[in-house]
Amino acid sequence: MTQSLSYQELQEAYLALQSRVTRFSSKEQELINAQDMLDQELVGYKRMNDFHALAIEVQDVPNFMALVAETLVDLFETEIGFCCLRQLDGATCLFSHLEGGGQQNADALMETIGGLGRDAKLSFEMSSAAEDADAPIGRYMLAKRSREGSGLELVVVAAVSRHRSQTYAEFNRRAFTLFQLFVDSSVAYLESILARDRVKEQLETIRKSELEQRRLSLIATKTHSGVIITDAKGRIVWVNEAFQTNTGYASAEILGKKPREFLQSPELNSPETMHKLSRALRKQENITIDLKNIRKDGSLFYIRLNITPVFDQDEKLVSFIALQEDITAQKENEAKMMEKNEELTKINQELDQFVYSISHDLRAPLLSIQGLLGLIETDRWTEENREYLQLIDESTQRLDHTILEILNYSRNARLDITWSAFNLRSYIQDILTDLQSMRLDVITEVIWSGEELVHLDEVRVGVLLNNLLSNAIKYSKRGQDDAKVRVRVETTPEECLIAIEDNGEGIEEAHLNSVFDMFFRASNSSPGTGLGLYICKEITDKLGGDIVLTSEKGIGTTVTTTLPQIEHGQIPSD
Amino acid sequence: MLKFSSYSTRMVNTKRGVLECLESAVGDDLSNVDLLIWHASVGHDFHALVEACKEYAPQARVVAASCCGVVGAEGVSESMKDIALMAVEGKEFAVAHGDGLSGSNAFEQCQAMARSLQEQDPGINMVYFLGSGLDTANDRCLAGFESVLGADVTVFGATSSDNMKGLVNFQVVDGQVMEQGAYAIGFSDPTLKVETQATHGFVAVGEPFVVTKSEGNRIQELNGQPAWEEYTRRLGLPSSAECADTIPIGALAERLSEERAAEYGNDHILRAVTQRDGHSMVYATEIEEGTQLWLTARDEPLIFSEMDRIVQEIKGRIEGRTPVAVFHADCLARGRFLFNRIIKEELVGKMQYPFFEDGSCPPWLGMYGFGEFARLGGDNEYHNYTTALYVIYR
Repeated sequence: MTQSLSYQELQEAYLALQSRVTRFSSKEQELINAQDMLDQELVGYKRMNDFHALAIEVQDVPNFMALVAETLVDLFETEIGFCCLRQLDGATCLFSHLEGGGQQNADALMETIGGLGRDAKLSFEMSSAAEDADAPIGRYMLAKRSREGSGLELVVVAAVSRHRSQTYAEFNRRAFTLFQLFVDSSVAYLESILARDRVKEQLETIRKSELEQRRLSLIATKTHSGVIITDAKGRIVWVNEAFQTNTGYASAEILGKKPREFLQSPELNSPETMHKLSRALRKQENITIDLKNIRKDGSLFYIRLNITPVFDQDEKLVSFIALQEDITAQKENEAKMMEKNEELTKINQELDQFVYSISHDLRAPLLSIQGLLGLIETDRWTEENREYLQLIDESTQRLDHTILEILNYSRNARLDITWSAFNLRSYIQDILTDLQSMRLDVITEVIWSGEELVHLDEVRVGVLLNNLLSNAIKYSKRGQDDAKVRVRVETTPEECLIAIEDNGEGIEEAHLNSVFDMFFRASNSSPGTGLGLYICKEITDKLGGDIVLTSEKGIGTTVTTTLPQIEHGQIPSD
Repeated sequence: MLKFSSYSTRMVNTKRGVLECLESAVGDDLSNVDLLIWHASVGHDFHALVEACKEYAPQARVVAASCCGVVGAEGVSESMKDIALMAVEGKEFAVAHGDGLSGSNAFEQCQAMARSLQEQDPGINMVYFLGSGLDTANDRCLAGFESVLGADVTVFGATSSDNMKGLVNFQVVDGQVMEQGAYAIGFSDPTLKVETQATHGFVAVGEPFVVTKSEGNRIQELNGQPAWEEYTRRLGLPSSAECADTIPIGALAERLSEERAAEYGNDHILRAVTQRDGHSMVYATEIEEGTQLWLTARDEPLIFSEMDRIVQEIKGRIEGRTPVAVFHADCLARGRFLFNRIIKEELVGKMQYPFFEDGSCPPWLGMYGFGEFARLGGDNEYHNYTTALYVIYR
C-alpha cells in the first residue's frame, strides 16, 4: 500500500530522522560513559591491588599513613586524602598524613578534616555537599574505624574542597563501596604493622637479652669456676666446661639431673650443712656454703658453692645459677695448718712442762744450797772464805730469782686464768711492804680512786705488780733523799688502771720500743734477767689488758697497765 | 643543537612526580637541562610543580599546561594525577607568555608573544604554542603569530584543558601560574624541522545548522534559534546540559575546500564548543554568520585508517630520518570518552610504533586537550577532535 505524503510531512520525517541519528550518538555516548564507569571501577580495583602490593612492604605507621592518603587521592580521584591514627580517649592524632589540597592551607585543612572525623556519628559516611556554604570541604567520604581493646581509631577521609568541587567527579555508591573495602584493608594492614612493631620490640628485647646472655655465657664458659644453671626444680639445664673438668662428668651425662644426685653422698657433709643448703633452696634465697663433693672417679674435692635464684618479671622462680669454686687446695692447707698447730701446741705444752720441771727441779738443790749457807753461822766465817760464801749467796739468790721468773712465765703460759675477788689496795700495800727492804730510802705513795675490791686473777696480778713495783723501787733516784715511787690506781666496774711512776734515771727513747722484749735490759745499773717486763706484757695480754711504758731520760718512768674486770657474778665457782 | 628527552607517569604527589620524571628522562645530573615542558592533569598542584622544578633544576626555564591526560613513550594515562615531561638541553629556544587569553584578545596576545620570541631570537623557525582552551579564538591566535613570524613558521601545539569539565585550565611559565594564559616556545635550532598533520575520522551527518547570528567566537543563534538550545536539542540533550555533556558527541563540522579536503582525508574540519555562555555558545574560532555547521558521527574504521595514513605521510615527508622528538596533541574527546582503554591504546600504538627505532620510542610528549594546531594546505590551522602529530627531526 502506498501512502502519499505532503512536502511538510516529508520535511518533518527527515528532521525526525536526523534527530534519531544524533540522538543515537547521545545514547551511544551514554553507553560509552557507562563502559568508562565500569572501566574506571576496574581501574580502581587495579589501583587497590597496587596499594596491597605497597602496603605489604610498608614497615612503619607514618609511611603507611602517607600511603593511605596518597592512595585515597589516586583511587578515588579526589583532591584530598587524609589519614589519621588517633587515641580513642584523648582523640590525639598520633600519626597523620594529608595529601593534596594545596600546601598553603594544609594546617587549616587538617584541622577541618580532623573535625569531620571527630564529629562523625557512623563508621562510614558519605557527604555530597556540606550544609554550611562557607565550609571549605565540598564533599567527602569518611571512615572511622577502631578495634575493640586497642584504644586506637583510624580516621580516613577522601575529600574535595568546595571551590574545586565542580572539577572533580561526584562520589557514587560504587566508589563508596570501594572506599569501604579500602578502609577495611587499611585497618587490617595497620593492625598487621602495629603487631609487627610489637613483635619487633619483643625481638629487640630478645636480641638484647640474647646478647647479654652470650656475654654472660662467655664469662660462664671461660671462667675457671664451675657454673651450673638449673631449672626451678633444681634440674641441670647447663654446665660450663670448668664444671665438667672439675667433676669429670660430661654435660650430656648430667643434664636433667639434680647436682646432689651425683656429687653428694650422705657421709660427705654434716646433716646441718645439708639442712642449711636445702632450707636456702626451698626459701629461694642466696646461699654461700662449703661442701665436700665426690668426682666421677670417686675422688673427693671441696667446693665453695654460691647459689643465686633467678626470677622472671612476675617474680616467679625460673632457675638457679650456682657458681662453685674448687677450694680443695685451701681446705688441704687448712687441715695441714691445723695439724701443725696442734703439733706446735703439743710441743709448747711439752716445752712448758719441761721448763717448769727443770726450773722446779733446779730450784730444789738451789734452795738446799741457800739453806746450808744459812746454817753456817756468820761469825764462823773466816776471812779466807767470807768473800766466797757471800758470792755463793748472791749467786744462788740471782739464780733463784731467774728461776722464779721462768716459772712465773711458765705458769702464765700454762695455767688458765683464775678469777677472784680481792682487795687490790691492801694487796699493793703488802707488796710494797715486802719490797721495802730492797731500798729503804725510797718513799712510796698510793693514790686511789674507785673500789678497792677488784675481780682479777690474783696470782697473775701479784706477779705483774711485783715486777713493776720492784723495777720502780730498784731504778728510783739514787744518791739523794727524794727517791719516790707513786702508785695511782683507778678502778671502775669494767676495768682497773694501775700507773706506777718513779723518778729514776729513765730510759733512752731509742730503747722504748724494745722494753717488752724477752731478755732486753735497758740499764746495767742494777742486776736483772731481762724477763720482768716481758712477763708483765705476757700477763696483761693473757688477761686481755694493756700495758704502756712512758719514760724520759733523767726524769723517770711510768708504766700504766689497764686490766679488764669481770662482773662478780661471772666468777667461776669451781 | 637541541637535545630532547621525555618521561611520563601517574603520581599523586606532584613533587615526587616531578622528580621521577626528571630522573627518568634526564638522569641524575640535571645541571644541563635548559627547558622543562610539562603536561599535567588538572588534579596536580601547579604551584608545587614550580617549586619542585626550582629545587631540582633551578637553572632551567619551566613551562607547563594542564590537560585531561597524557601520552608519553610510556603509554597513555587519563587520570587526575598524570604528569609528563619533555626536557630540552640547548640554548636555541625562546619562551614567551600571555595572561588572560580570550576570544577578544587572542590576536593581540599572540602577536605580542610572537614579537617577544622574535626579539629574544630572530632565528625562530617553529613555535610550540599552548594556550587556554576555554574562551579563545584559536584562528586569531594563529593570525597573531603569523603577523610577526610569517605564515611559513609552523605553529603547532594544543589548547590546555581540565578533565573535560570546561571549567578551568592552568598554564605555568617559570614561577608564574596562570588560569587562562598561554605560552609559546620558539625553537631556533637551524638543524631541526617539524612535520605536522592532524586527523579526526568523523563524518558529517544530517542537515547542517546555519549560523544566523554570531560575534567573534560566540555563536548566538543557529537556524534562527538560540544557539545553545538548538544545539542541545539536536544532540538529544536537555538545554540544561553542561558543556561537558556535549563535547563527546557535539563536534561541529565546517566544510573544507576540495584541495584541503583531499589533504585532510575528510570533507570537513571539526570545531568544538568549549563553553556555554547563556543562550550562546563559545566556538573555538571566530565564525561568520551564514556558516554551515554539521553535526557529526564518529567512524571508527575511518579513525584507524586515517591514523595510518597521516603517520605514513609524515614518515614519507621526513624521508626516513629519525625523529628527535614528537609532540602530540589529542582531543580529550578522543580519549576515554570516545574509546575504551584497549582501542585507545591500540590507536596510540598506531601513531607511535612507526616512529620507533631499535625498539625505542622517540622522546614523546602528548596531551589530551581541547584543541590542536597543525598545518593544513600549507597553512597553520586549528583543529578539534583530532590527533595531531608534530614530528621534529634533523
